[in-house]
Amino acid sequence: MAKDTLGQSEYLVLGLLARRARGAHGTALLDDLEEVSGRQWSVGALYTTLERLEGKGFVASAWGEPTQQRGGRRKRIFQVQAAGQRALERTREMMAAVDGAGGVRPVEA
Amino acid sequence: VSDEEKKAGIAWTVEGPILTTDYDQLIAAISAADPPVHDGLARRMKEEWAKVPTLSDGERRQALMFLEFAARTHEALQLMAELRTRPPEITAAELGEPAAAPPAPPTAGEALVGLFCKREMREAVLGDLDEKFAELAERRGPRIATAWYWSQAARSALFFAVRWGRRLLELETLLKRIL
Repeated sequence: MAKDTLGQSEYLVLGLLARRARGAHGTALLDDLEEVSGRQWSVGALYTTLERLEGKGFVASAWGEPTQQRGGRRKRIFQVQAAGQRALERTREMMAAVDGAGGVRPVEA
Repeated sequence: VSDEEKKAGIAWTVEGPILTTDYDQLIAAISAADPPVHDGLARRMKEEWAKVPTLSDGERRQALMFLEFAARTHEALQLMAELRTRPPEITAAELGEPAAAPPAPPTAGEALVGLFCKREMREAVLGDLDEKFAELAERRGPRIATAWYWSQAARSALFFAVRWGRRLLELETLLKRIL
């Protein structure tokens, strides 16, 4: 897979993160993912995807303030970077190209 | 006029019902009312309602006024009866006891996630789990929140463990290449 294209879970997480201009932390993303995909994501699945995206330079993260509700732990706020936006666009273009070609059909020999 | 109706502060005349205007007396009577008063009123309402089509305009107006008031009284009696049977709600503060502490996420579940999760990720992951647990415990109760936490802990630990295993394999390959 090319470096600037995204896998399914990466596309979902990055696309949902891009909808939030100020970025988002894990709990907010879990709610969004459940709403869009119709299934409950595990925190582990989300964070391994986010870590991969951060490694590719598509997202950046910063620590927020600790809250009592979180057992005094800080939030980690993730935000989409310019490279991430480009990767999203590239993936959308690829998907549109597939749709434009008549969708997924069995190729006749 | 039955004794029960008198007790409820309701008086009747030949033309139709005249209800007491002494509301304090009526409220006191309703408060002290027993189920038979309640049932008697319902029976009388049914009888009056059956008569309505045969009444003249003036009589009908009076009968309908009675029925409206009686229906409200009936509702009030039902409510009073329900309130009397409901146990009083006494808060912990009224009893002089300290308020119950909010439910805490399962410690063993936290340990399981913490064991496989990378150190730099641990604070954010456990914080997110705590936040969602608190929200669920408030909305759907501590039992459902605990079940949710365990399902998350088991699935997340598996994800982290697989990733950890892959890293070990990568490290092994790298070491083989170097050494």
